[in-house]
Amino acid sequence: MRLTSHAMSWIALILLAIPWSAEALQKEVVAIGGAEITVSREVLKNGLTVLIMENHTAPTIGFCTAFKVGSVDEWDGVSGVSHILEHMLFKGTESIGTIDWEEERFLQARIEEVRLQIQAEQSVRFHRDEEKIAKLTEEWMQLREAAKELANGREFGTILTENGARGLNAFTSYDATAYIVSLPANRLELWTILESDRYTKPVLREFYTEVENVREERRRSVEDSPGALLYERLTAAAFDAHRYGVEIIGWDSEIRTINRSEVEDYYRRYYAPNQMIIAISGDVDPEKTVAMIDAYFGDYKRQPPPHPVQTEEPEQLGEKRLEVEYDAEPRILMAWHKPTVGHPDNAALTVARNILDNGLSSRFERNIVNKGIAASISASVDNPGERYPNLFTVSAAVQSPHTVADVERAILFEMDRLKTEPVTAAELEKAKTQIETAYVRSFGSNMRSAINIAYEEAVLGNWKRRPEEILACREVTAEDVQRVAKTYFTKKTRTVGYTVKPEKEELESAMGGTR
Amino acid sequence: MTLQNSWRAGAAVLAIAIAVTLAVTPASALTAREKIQKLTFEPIEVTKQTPHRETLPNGIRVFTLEDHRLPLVDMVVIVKAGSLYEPADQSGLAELTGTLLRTGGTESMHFTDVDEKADAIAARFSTWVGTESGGALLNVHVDRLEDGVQLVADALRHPAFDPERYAVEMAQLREQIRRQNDSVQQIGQREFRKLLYGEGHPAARFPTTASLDRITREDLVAFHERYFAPNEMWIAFAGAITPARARALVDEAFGDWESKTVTYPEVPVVAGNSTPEMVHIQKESDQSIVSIGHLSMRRTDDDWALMRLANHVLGGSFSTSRLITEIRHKRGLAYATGSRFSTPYLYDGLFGAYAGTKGESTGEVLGILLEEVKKMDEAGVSAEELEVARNALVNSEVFEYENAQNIVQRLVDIDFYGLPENHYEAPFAVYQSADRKTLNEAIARDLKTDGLKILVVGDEAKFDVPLEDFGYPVRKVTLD
Repeated sequence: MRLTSHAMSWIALILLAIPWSAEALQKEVVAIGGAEITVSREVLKNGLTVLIMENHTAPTIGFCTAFKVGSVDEWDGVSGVSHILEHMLFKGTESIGTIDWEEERFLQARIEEVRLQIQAEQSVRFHRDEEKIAKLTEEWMQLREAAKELANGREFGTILTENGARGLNAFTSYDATAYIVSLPANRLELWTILESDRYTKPVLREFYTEVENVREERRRSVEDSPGALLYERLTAAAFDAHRYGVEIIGWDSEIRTINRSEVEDYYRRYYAPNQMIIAISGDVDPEKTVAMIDAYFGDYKRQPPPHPVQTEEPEQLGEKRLEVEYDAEPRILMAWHKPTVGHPDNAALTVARNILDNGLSSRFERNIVNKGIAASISASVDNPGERYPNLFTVSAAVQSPHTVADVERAILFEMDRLKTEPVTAAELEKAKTQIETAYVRSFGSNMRSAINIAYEEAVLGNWKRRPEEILACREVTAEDVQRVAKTYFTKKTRTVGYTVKPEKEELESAMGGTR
Repeated sequence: MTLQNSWRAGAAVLAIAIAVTLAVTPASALTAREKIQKLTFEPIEVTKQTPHRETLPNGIRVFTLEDHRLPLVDMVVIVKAGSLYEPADQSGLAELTGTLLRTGGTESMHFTDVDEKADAIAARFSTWVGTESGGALLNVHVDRLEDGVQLVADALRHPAFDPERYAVEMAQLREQIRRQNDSVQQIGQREFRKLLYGEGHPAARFPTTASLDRITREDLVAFHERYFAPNEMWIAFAGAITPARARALVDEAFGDWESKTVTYPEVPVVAGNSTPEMVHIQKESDQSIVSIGHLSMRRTDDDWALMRLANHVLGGSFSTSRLITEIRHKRGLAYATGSRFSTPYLYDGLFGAYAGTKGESTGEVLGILLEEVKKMDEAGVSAEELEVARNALVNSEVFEYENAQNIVQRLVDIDFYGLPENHYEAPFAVYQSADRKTLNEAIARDLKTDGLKILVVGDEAKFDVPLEDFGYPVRKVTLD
């Protein structure tokens, strides 16, 4: 190849001359709250969307790669698969993280074969061959140890760390999955190489060890947290059909039993350039950056879009109530079904949320916390996600000596007041100013800017939907708030959950005497 | 802040290099590893901006750094007032004072009016008193800056500590105490500090119902009266604001506040001991929290930068550290594990290594934590490990100059603690030049493995190994 050096530079010149003149990049500008948010957009031939925000304050870049897939896209038996894949995409590729890929590939295949054999044997209900299971398990453990000798699942992270990365992380939501990192600006090409390799040639190595870490994460973030446990069980009760009823991290039995091949199936189905958004905020030249991304991601093959979620949550037919026993001070969580972003009522519900709970002057703070009924309280308009109709939620920690029932009454009193009397002009104006200012604030760093635009592009279809929704809040009237309160905050469509301290079981018939 | 030209030129050269590579070599011919091995990086140069600084006649020091990217302004006020100076039997006094500055109203405004005003201008506005310092934070739209600064000044100068709000905040703090044992993580963090510092030191003093019983509203008034003075105050502005505007705002809001002499009690000496000990706190839970550690250095210690390198290797780096490797990557035993040096300025810090693991692997994880810390103490770091840590810390230095508020805050800290001007830059020279011998000698000095304290919070019925087997005297503690 050495002899072609002259030809090489000739071809290179042509390549440089072709694309991405300054005009080719579409600039999207949104003026909101006195700020101008400017984003350059390019959609590559394979459907990959690149969004760039320039910020030359310092020689740094924030990166966010988001995929339009989250736990809501999962199916029965594999809950948590989105999140497990997110963990596994830190484990390297066919070249990063391996010592000898050909050898390792063979072992990885064999590990999965034996795993499936073990599971097949374990699924036999009667006269299971325990000896065979034990033998296979021993072989499986040995194979896994041997594979570890040929690989280093930390290499991907180590390379980035050594190059000065900050905030290397990822997150999975019900709606989308996003991978983030910040790097010094002279590492743009390094990121592009690693990131393109990561999604095109991933190796889910050390899989069955990482799954145990995910189970630890579940213990830590759900089971050790009474508030999170109540949330998991309440959403499960609130949704009869829709996958918004299954917590992102998944059920322990399904995390424990998922196979690597199932995660690989999921990966092939949902990870594709046309499902992907790259957002970059920082010290970059947009045209050159797009050219670089195209050079490395251009070969990544487009796929037919995956099936959308077809399930619609059927109308709730009556109030649902539940208790979660936990050795902790009592909490309450209430939820009402509501439409999501894009529905004309969502802006009014967002304003209602801010009037109830945003700042110490809000109604919940003033009338519930300040009265000593709850120790803390918060309302939300976007749980569990925003791609599909969702919930208006209110959660509170009870202040002793009050009870959960007292807090529930106080919350319902405030929800009812929204229906019976119009909110004041001052409350409306305050809510609108808060919503706008919070949005401007969310562009406070490169990392947060990149996450904002990538994530919202993935979830809402276009990052501008969010500022459009916020501008729609500007138009909301007191009558709108009253109307949506009457429409959505109904007993029939709500779910109410309490945590209660475990009590000794007694015969319930013995307690009341008569029935 | 602007970049120097060398980097701009560098980017163009890089772009050409890629085009060449891809034009002649099928993309599949080179692996990602080969591609990154071919990369070279232009050196990055940061133009370091110097915040504007001036001192008002009454002693307030004002620092300003402009950043007009967004129409927002950050204002941070630091006051020399902390729980270090509260009476030992009134734990919670400093914290309550800090909260009520913001929530208790002022001499001229009822607290509901302050709340209303702060929300109407969509300000993020809070006050606090921590261990070493207290103050106020404001983030507000530049169009509403003046109102925001007035709110902050009024809160710091003329707080009313309204009895009604005082009762609410007191009740909330009592509720927090009631909830403080709801999760093993919370218990682990709090009790580990108590174990190391001993319960008497302010660094490990937490409010109790008894300590709150000994506090009155008048104590808050007196605490504020004593420690809040313009000559013990620093104000930092960052964002869409010029130094002239900052000066004018501070003059208007704080200018007529007269300076006064503030006397401070002695900062209590840390009286913790180095007797090895294990404490077990029983709590029914799926997960155990295991922590080991000892008292350690202050932020101003000569070894601080070296220990930052060492800790990167031991448990500071999420991607590469030994603890992450052994506990998480190799064995799948924890989602969260790591180690840290927590290093305050005015009193001794601590070293701790920790992990959260299922009850059934509590002993296994404790064994690994002990082994890794001891191994680090005895053998130090390898040359390769030092290189990774060095590169990681040196290459990430640019992030120190990414955020105007951080830049200006560092300058305030230098002034507040009376540190040398190069306090925040000096460690980077150490990361750059440290050799293995120097580092390992420091590790041997600063890791004190024969005086380790161990805390295990979790359900003994699930443990894989009896805690007594580790050879430390085990003390069982029951929480109320």
